[in-house]
Amino acid sequence: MARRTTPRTPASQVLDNDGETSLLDVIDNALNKGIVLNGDLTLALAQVDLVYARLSLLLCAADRVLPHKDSDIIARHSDRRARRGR
Amino acid sequence: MSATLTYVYCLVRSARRPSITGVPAGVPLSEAVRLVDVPPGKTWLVVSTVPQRAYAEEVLDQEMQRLEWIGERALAHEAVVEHFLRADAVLPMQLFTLFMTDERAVEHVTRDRRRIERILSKIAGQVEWGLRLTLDPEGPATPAKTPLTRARVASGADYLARKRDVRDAVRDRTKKARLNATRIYRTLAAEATAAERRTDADRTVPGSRVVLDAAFLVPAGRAAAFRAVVRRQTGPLKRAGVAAVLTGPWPPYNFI
Repeated sequence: MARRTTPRTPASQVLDNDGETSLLDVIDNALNKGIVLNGDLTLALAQVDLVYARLSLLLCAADRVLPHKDSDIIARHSDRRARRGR
Repeated sequence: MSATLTYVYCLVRSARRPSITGVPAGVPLSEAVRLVDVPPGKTWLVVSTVPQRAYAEEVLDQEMQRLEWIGERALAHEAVVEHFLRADAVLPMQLFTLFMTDERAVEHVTRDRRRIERILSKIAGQVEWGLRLTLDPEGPATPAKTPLTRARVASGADYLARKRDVRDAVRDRTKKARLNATRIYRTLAAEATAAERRTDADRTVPGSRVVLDAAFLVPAGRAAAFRAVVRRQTGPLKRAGVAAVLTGPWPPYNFI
């Protein structure tokens, strides 16, 4: 029985720029969905940064299908960072 | 403070020590990817040593805003995790899971043993497939096919009427596409071990053309059958201007 070759993995598709899997999906998964082990140095950084990353991903994703840009959320994020005063 | 850190990619459960031949290079500036035994056995952490200065908290805090910086590392992280997709179970860690030493990493895993065991038993032998359905703005034959710019527009009122027709048609198509998306989601969920439908996209971006963003947990051996069902279900949608993108196999990110 002829077996089809194993499908190439999502990351390899991104590296080859196949367009099938988007870089944003990879970032989104690795950043927001991986199991959180609470390392010695975690992304306790600030939840706001995670939220920001998530939102900008969504915006970019929407941007791929919608021909308009909305920079509001990014602007709001910058404001919040500034206010955190770090 | 140590000059190096242990970067953890994933936890792997396997009857035999997994092969690291041909494993990708790991995140930028890291040493070779290697395995760390987790007692009592049959479980390994996939790690690499990275310079502390490259992944210090201040660095992360600053660079987290640059999608290109994150992207490069996310791809490297993901590529390493995917190398172990054929293991009995692979549990991907969040990007930038860093410990001072290997021992500290093992200690953390051991402390979390019960939760990890529970997840491992759920995802053993399973991979994830992602399906995204988007309404193609180019669409099929609708009033939108006659672009306003090219149409001979008689008057301002005519222009507005055309514009309204286009908008109504889009709204109608969106509604139909969403109904189809829900039907397809249910059909595929019945074929899968577990399913997740993400709705954030709709909530966050008004007017988003994404009508379905879903993840399915599927036994690794049933990949071909699942893909066939996806093809059968999504094929007829093309005529309605709905594009389907199936991605995978992914580590089971959405089911841990």
